[in-house]
Amino acid sequence: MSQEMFDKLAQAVIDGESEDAEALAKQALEQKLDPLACITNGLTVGIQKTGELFASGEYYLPELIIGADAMKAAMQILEPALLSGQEREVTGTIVIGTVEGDLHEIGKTLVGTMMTANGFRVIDLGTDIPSADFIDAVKESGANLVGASALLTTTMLQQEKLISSLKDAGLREQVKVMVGGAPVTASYAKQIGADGYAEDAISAVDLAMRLIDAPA
Amino acid sequence: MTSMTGKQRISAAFKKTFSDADPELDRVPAYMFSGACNSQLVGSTIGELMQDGQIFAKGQLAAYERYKPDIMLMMWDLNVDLEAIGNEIRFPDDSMPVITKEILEDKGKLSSLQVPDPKKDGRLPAYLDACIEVKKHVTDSPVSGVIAGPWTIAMGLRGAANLLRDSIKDPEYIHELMEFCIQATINSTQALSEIGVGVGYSEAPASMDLISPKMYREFVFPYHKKIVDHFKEKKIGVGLHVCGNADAILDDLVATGVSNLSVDSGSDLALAVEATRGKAVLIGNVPTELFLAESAEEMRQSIQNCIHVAPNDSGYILATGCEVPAIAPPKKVDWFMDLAEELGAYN
Ligand code: B12
Repeated sequence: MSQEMFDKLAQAVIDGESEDAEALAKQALEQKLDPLACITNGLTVGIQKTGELFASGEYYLPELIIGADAMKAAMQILEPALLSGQEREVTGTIVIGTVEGDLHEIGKTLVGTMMTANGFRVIDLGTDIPSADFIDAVKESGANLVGASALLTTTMLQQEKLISSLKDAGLREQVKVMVGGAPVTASYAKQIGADGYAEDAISAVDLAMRLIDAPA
Repeated sequence: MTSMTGKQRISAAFKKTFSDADPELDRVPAYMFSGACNSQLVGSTIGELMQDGQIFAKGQLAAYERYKPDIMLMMWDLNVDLEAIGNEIRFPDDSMPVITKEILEDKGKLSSLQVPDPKKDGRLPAYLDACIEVKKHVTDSPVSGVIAGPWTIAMGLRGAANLLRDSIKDPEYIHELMEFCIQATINSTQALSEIGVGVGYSEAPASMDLISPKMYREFVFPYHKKIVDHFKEKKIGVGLHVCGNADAILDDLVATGVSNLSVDSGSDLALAVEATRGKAVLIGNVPTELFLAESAEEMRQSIQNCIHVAPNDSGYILATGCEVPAIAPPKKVDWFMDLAEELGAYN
């Protein structure tokens, strides 16, 4: 019976049905199913499949976005129900956002979704995010990764500023910093002291795994 | 052959596309999309230039003097319509304007929105005045306005991710929203053509970077066609610019009936040549990042390649794929017109 529920949860994510996902999550708790198993064997399987469909070109951005929405909706029900001491095993925690002055939203969202699909806890701050907000989020979440997106040559400079702000806040040792966005290059990333650069969402996941020494 | 003016070169490009005539050209017609970066020529911040139409006009005139493009493109800020409709915008000193509030974050507000009046609302009047001012001084080259296209307006009002969600969850809403947005684009286009400025609209988010070809056909194409048809009746030709990779929809873009199509470096110029031949003047597509390169070598190769791929027998204008980055040094913008001059000579 639990496998049936896991499959339904996964399917709700693949179909991007937030309301279904939320209702199923509630039902699962009523049936006293293990919330952790619902996440791991249901939602995560669904978002992984969604990511694969995107990578193979069958899904476009909209399907990916609503898939991530559905996952989030169910997580909001399941996470608080995790038993104390029972922790969702996450690959790592990343604070991600588009830097101050930049409103390009999609690349960052896509990276966040693929990271979620690969077991990361993702705190997506949104766009036009000042360094100070990144820092608050790192402190609050205890993240070990920061991802900064910039699509304009004028806002790339903010990535450098973010790195020095992390240093000033005494957090630079705690986090690995990844940068990306169309005008950003590996050599620029190196020059500003970032830990890594990735040119698309799939390589961003690989990079994150490598940076925190997660088993692939 | 003595040197031609911008107007003569552009008119020749149109004749090559739309008639059997094959007028001679001294060199490939060429221009760049520049606005923000001209703040450097007039010693203002980017923020000042974006908020003051007269500083913008001064910047464009300084750019015209210095670079002598064959079209003087009035590239200001694509948020002008959005702001007039109700979005809130912040103007950083040293970077491009940013939207701080999307008016349709709550989608229900659509019914209460007003189509802006270009002569009254927001920075639209300042934009028109800047165009009038520049047109007064630039007599050798056509002056052309840049208008936010309906999909760009829709995305700006609703937010990018939200609009993509709507495409699956509430497609009817997008159609309603697009009906509203084309009114804004049509009004701005009308106002610009009344002051004798060329008209074209820009659709950064209509490419395959963000949407599927199917989405373009369902949500965008019908509205692009409506705009073009509206102005065809008035014998006004409109242009279209699409950022990013538009390869899969090139035929659709041409089928909207636009008289010129400008493609970004993400699109394949050879495919665009085939799609536009005899139907629309093709414009493009030197990568904008080359305006930040160490040397002019890559730009030289890119321009050479464009000229090679888009032969002189079809109407073609060499241009940047998109806007020159705001912090590109003027010296590197010089490269572009100098190289067009050097490599673009037809003999
Ligand atoms: C769509 C788009 C827009 C939309 C954005 C909608 C939105 N809310 O997101 C709109 C129309 C609003 C827009 C506005 C502008 N844009 Co724009 N836009 C684009 C376009 C066409 C696609 C960007 C996109 O979403 N791509 C799809 C996503 C999936 O790709 P991506 O963002 O590159 O992300 C991938 C990777 O880069 C990487 N990645 C991204 N972030 C991160 C982060 C990390 C940590 C990692 C590891 C990886 C990573 O992984 C992602 C997934 O594979 C690009 C063209 C291009 N070549 O990129 C121009 C482009 C980015 N824009 C450009 C410009 C100039 C502007 C404007 C200034 C235009 C204007 N004159 O008003 C404004 C800027 C406003 C501002 N203050 O930010 C230029 C930038 C040039 C430059 N070097 O500075 C570009 C490159 C166009 C060009 N050819 O010149 N734009």
